[in-house]
Order: sequence, then structure tokens, then C-alpha cells
Amino acid sequence: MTVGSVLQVHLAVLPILLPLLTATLALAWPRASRPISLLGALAVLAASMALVLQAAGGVQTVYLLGNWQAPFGIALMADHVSAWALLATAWVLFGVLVFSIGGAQDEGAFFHPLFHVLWMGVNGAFLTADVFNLFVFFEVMLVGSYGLALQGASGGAVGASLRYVAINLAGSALFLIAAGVLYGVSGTLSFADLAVRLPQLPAADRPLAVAGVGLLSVVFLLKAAALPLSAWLPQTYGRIAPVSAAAFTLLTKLGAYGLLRLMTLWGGALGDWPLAGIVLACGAGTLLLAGFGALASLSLTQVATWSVLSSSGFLMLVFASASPQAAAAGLLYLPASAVCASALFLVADLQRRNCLGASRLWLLAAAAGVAGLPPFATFIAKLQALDGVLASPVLAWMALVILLGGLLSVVGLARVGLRVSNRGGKASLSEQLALAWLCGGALLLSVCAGPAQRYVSEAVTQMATPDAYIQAVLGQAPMRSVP
Amino acid sequence: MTLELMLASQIAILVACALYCLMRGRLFDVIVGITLLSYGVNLFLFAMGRPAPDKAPIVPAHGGALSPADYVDPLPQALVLTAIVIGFAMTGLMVALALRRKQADGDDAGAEQ
Repeated sequence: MTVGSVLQVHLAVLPILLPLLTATLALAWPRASRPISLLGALAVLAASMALVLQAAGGVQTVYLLGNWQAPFGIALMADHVSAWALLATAWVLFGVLVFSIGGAQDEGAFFHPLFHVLWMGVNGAFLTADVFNLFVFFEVMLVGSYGLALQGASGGAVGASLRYVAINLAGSALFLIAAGVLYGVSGTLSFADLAVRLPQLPAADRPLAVAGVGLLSVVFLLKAAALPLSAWLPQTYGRIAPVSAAAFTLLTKLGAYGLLRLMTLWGGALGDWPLAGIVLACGAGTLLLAGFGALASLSLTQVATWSVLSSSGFLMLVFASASPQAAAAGLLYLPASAVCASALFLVADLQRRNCLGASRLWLLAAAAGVAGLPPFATFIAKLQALDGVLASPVLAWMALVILLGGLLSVVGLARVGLRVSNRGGKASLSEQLALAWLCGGALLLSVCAGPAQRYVSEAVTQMATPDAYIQAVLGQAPMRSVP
Repeated sequence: MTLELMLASQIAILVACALYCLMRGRLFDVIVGITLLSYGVNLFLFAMGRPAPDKAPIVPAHGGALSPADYVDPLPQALVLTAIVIGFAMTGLMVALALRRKQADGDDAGAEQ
């Protein structure tokens, strides 16, 4: 067996193993942590790209952990959506890493190990096809994020982190209750097996199953910071170090991704319980709230924080809209908005250190990307979403919400942007490179809008037919001989 | 029947106390609340495996012919073990954070608005 074929077989688990390895090595050799961290990040980026290419080639990669068959063991699933989210994660985190390595200030102790633990958790959560495993990866991700939130912590940041930890611990408790109910009622925790068994439950067990799925969606709404549960996000992201906040832009997307999976796989088991309607209302409310928040912001960090909330609201809105075109637009919007919001946080960091003066171009680029203005892919995605919702009269009100939210964000961004002083020092080369990487990512996505469009449309078609997912996961035979 | 009632009421009492503490808005109470909540949740997870008296979750290696009815489901117990470890670590982290904050402020009042 050559190295190439071994990598091929184990490709789907690499986005989890590589950050773990990098974190361990960076912990063992603190002096060499920067080159180790950078090399590890490049490797994860390459693995994520390989998975996207493989998915684009029509392969749904199922990886059986420990070579145990699916409902008995835990499976990893890299289909179109998962691979796409992995690539978005890798793009954002690589940019943030380059920025922090080249920064003038010290990253703080254990920055690199914590950063890669966070990466591992996010990747694992996007890949896994098991409810309890999802819980574990959420916790792994949270451990990394707690540490990063405390990096360079001032007094205010410790208080903000405490709130963040407390709300997430409560969320984890809810997640465990949901997992317990689902297991108790169906006897399985595998996504695919649950999708098979939930609709077949006897009528007496139905309400319990609905309660389990409902509790799980509350957890995802909390992670996505949807309106009634969104107060923690501005409190946290606005007060921690902007570089850490830039790494966190993907965490809310995880909630939206969880809701998308839950609605497509188990939506049929809910009967007439209107989960999509609730998510729709939460998303619309979040989008408007974020618009007003941006309007009230006084600093770049605050406006970047509200833009994270705004993109989370938009994603919930389009994922729950039942319009395939709008859902595809959401998948296109996810990476584009994440890279732009991260870039905005990094620009806020430059401003805080008084280094923005000569590099205000990046502020313009990041703000335009966040607001959904051309030439960035966020614009194309919003346009497509509007096109999708206007096609059906029932959904037309959503166009108004999207436009109003967008308008409020633009006004808020412009208001804050105009106050930014043009004095100050210069950003270092690698900081500029990182910003170019992030803003360029959103630009690249609109340059390659054709292939990207085809990819996300295929992804939505795939999500709309959960049978293929179920068959792929449950039908995957264990390997005969492990290479 | 009495076993089920005991288990269920125990979970209810733990969670009710936890919610009361969580709503109090003082840091120490929140930590106690989260600890109680994780106890309640762990018991709940355990109860979801339909525990029964005098039945083991572990099947002996060379037991000959076995009837599944003689054993309880071992999976929830494994889940509880994982949840205990994670919950314990997170509570520890929160206590450490609270101590750091106390050093900075000298007071824990009004930590949760």
C-alpha cells in the first residue's frame, strides 16, 4: 500500500486527526509552535479541498470509525454540504492563523494548541453522522473556544467568557437530554438510523420523539444565536480579543448547519409540528435585530459582531424556506459571509492597535462583503435568495426582511466606517496577506460562481433526498483488510 | 414501580433546584446550579436506558447461550460516563474562571445580568 492510497482511504477522518496532531505537536514543542501550526493548517486546508473535489466528483464519502458498521459504530459522512462547510472553516481559520502569526503582538500561551482543538471540534461536528458524537465534538470545539476567548483577556473579557461558558453549559445539558430522549425512544443515535426509525415509531412514542427533536433544535438555535436565544453573542464576541472573535465566525454557522440536517433528515418524523415555521420566524427576527444592532454600533468590533448575527439569521431564514434555490443561495452565502465577517474582526484588531491607517482598503472590502455588495459572493447569494423567495407568493415577505436587514447593516457599517481615522501605523505584510486571503476568498467565490453554483445546487438536491444519505451511511460495508 | 418513581422524582428535584440556582444571577449560585443540572441530566440519560434491578450491563466473555432479557442496555451507561467526564471538566473550568474574575474584581456579585 502506498502512502497515497492510505490517505485516499482515510481522507474523511483527516480533517479531525490533522488538527489533533498539530495541537499535540504544538503543545510538545512550544518554541516551534508557529511553523508546526502553519504546516498543520496547510495540511487541513488541503484535506478539506480534496474532500470538496471528491464530493464534486459525485462521491459521498462514508468513513466507519474503528471499522464498525454504521448503526453500531459511529460513521463520518462527507457529502456535499459537509465538505463545503469544512472548506469554509479551513479558509477562515487559515486566514486568521496567518494574521495572528504575523501580528506584532504575542499570541499568548497555548494559542496554537487551542486554535487547532477548536478547528478539530468544528470539523468533527460538520463530519459526524451520530448525535452523541456531535455532542462530543461540540464540547471539543467549546473547549478550544473557551481558551481562545480568554486569550489576552482583560477584566471585561473574563466576565464575558464566564457568561459564554455558562450559556453553553446549559446548552450542553439540553443537548444531553435531547440525545437521551431520542435514544430512549428509538434505540439508536445514528443520524441515518434515526431517520429510518423515527417515522416508524408507534403513536404512543411519537410525542417523545417530537420532544427530542424539538429540544435538539433548541440547542441548534442557541448555537446559531437565534432571536430569543441570541443575547449571549454580542455580549461575548464584542468583548473578547478580535482575533479570537474572527476565529469564532464559523461557530454560529454550525448551529444553522445542524438545523438544516435536522430538518432534512428528521423533518418527516415531526408530523404537523411546525419546526420550519419556528426557524423561519427566529431567522427573520434575528436578521432584523442584527440590522438594528449594526445601526446602534459605535465601534468596528460591535458592527462585526452584529454582522455575524445577521448572517446567522439569513442562513436560518433561507434554510427553512423550503425553496431549493434560496437554500442553495444560503450554502453559497455561508463561506462568503464567514470570511468577510472574519476579515472585519481582523480589521477591528488593526484599528484597536492603531495600525489601520494605511490599510483602510481592507475595511472597505470587508464591509462591502459583509453588507452583501458587489463584487463579493455575498451579493450573488443574496440576489439568488431574493430570486428564490420571490418566485413563490407565500415566501415573498422574506424578500422584504432580507432587504431591510441588508439596508440597516449597510447604514450601520457606513456610519462606523466613516469614523475610522486615517492616521496610524501600517499593518505587517502577513497581516495584509491574511486579509487579502479572506477578502479574496469571497471574491474568488463570485469569480467561480458558475462551478460553485452547480456544487451548491447538487448539495441541495442531495439534502432533499435523505434516502441517498441513509443508504450511503447504513449500506457502507466495513473494510476487509485495513490498509 | 417505586424504583421508577424514586428515579424520576430525584431527577425532577435536581433539575428544579438547578434551575432555581441558575436564575439567581450570582456567580457561585450559577456554578452550583450547573453542577446540579449536570447531575440531573446524567441521571436522566441513565434512566433512558431503562435500568432494571439485578441485571448487569456487561455480558461475560464465555457465557454460552445468553438471553438479552437478562441484561440491561450498556450504551446509555457509556454515554453517562462520557457526559460526567465532560461536565466535570467544564465545571472545573468555570470555577477557575470565577476565581480569576474574583481576583480581578474582588467581588462576585452581579456577574450574570
